[in-house]
Amino acid sequence: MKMTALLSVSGLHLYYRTSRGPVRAVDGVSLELKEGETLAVVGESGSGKSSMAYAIIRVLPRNVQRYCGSVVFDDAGDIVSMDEESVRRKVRWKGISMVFQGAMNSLNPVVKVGEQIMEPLIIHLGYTKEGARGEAARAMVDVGLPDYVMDRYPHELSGGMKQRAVISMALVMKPKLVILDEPTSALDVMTQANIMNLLKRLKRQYGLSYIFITHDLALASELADIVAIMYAGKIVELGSAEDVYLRPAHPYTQKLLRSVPLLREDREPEFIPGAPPDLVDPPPGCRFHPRCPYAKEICRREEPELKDMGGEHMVACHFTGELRWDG
Amino acid sequence: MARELLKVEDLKVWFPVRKGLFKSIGYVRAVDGVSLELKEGETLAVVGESGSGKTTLGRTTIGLIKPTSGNVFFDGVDVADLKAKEELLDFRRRTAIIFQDPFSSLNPAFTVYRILEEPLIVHGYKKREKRNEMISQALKLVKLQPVDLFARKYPHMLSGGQRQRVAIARSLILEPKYIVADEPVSMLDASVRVEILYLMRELQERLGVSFLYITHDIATAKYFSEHIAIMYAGKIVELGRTKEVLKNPMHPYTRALMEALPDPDPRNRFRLMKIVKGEPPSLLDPPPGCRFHPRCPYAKEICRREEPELKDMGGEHMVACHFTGELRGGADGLG
Repeated sequence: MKMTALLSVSGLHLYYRTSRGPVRAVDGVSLELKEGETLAVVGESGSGKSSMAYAIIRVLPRNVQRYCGSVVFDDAGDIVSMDEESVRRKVRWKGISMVFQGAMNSLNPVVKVGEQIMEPLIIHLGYTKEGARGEAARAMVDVGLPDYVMDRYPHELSGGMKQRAVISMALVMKPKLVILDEPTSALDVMTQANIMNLLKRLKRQYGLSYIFITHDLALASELADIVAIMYAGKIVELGSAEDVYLRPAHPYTQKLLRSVPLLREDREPEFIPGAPPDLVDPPPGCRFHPRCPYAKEICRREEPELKDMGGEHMVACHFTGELRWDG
Repeated sequence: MARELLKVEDLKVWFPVRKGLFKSIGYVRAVDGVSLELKEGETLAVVGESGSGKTTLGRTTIGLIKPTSGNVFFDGVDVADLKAKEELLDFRRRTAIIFQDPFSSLNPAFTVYRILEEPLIVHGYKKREKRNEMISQALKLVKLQPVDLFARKYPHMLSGGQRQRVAIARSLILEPKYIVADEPVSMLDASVRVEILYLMRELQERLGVSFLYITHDIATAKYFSEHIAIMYAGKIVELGRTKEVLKNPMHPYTRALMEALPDPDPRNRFRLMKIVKGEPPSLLDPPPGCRFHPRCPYAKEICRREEPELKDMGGEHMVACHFTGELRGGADGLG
């Protein structure tokens, strides 16, 4: 593993304009990802995890009110301040590609799967049709799709095969970083396990980096070298998989871990009472304080900073270190 | 001992596949010889992949689908014998269903109040005050409070978890004895799932309802059911007390399902999951012998030829596999 940062995000903000006021979907996120590493971004719906991905690859909706901070990728420079043309030419698909949530259901139903995989090669890299077909065939072998799929339409494929096709589209331009937004959420357990194995194999084979977005901590541990726990637009805990799974320090992370029904151990899962806050009007101080069993006066008043607890294990809590975790 | 509420005997539900208007070219054997029992106040989890027939089984038990053969007994009465209008109405009052997708199972043009009022009107609650009282009671049960506020909302104003609470309130409003919960939490966030399942358990303890919990998630089944039935290609392959089955899974398919589901563990990223190859068979033309044999790592000659029966391995732990006793012991990497 090389030690240079492939992606370095700093002070990233993404607010959406609505009639009720700005929605602070991403509210000051900083993190780094090295080449070949996988970052899992874990949070409940509405925590801003998908928005963070959109902000990184810069596919933004029209109602953006605030988009600032910096996203420095490889040697391409800062994506936030770049002009759209350069993002398109230098970064998107070639450097960073993305498997969108539900992408397998947005395949074009009237275009053969193979042609959909070939398309970016022809458009972005100026391949001839024959050349693109060869590349697409290779990409399909990589994801374990039989060659007859090339000339099939999406409706002729199973869910697992469609998801493989979508992953091969994200890989065909040979990016260094692939963002996966809930890539298995509509699939059966067995198919999900197959896709996770595939992602692991591809990671090893090509030294790929992933940003894996999910609400499922158990699934995240299948890929994650680093884990970022998001709550209400902010990262509340960030660290190696070992730190976050074995020594979780933020009360929210601890609660999330205890909410997972374990198959191999017997421990009644617990749930987190209450709901995540409205991002138009988040609570003052620590955003988790209304749901936090340990909240004290300071939590209502002051926003905790992400602090390094040692070994790049970052936690944003006023009482970090005082909350015991007994597994 | 709790009383037996539901008994399914050798149930078959086959859907004809037609070519043109009349010519039948075969059957999709969605449920193909299933027997099971559910006691009062208990939960039976039915676990399987999509296409295993679990949803068809659930719907057939509440009379939404007619069996091709076999029987469904509800409270001792064969559901097929219910003919008179009053009998049917009564059966429908005592059974209910919660659907998977709370984003499409609630009428978007109705308020929560109207959604809950509908079954009451259908079942002849003529007095408005009575309906009001029952609706507010149901909303309190599922903890959507303040009641007045939630009653006025439309589904789009609610989160996924809140919508599913409305769906649960609707299923409870006629005070049924038996509820089919068809993947009630699979569309929800991991943290909300557990909350909804606890709510269902609490309501069960308070009201004594029985649940048929249909799911593909064996981990939630572990904590929220007393008995479990593992379905594959229209058949039950393993059945028994949940604790016993998951501690000592004997069918290769049950083991495969468990193997495919990770627990949070940072070591997971360094290893590949052991997965059985292939996909579930077409129910139009299921393989001969054991239906799992084309994917089974232990398949032998007999598995291709002869269909295994469900055998009691002791303590009501039933398994349909020719090599049941021999696969015992090796807990297959789950240690």
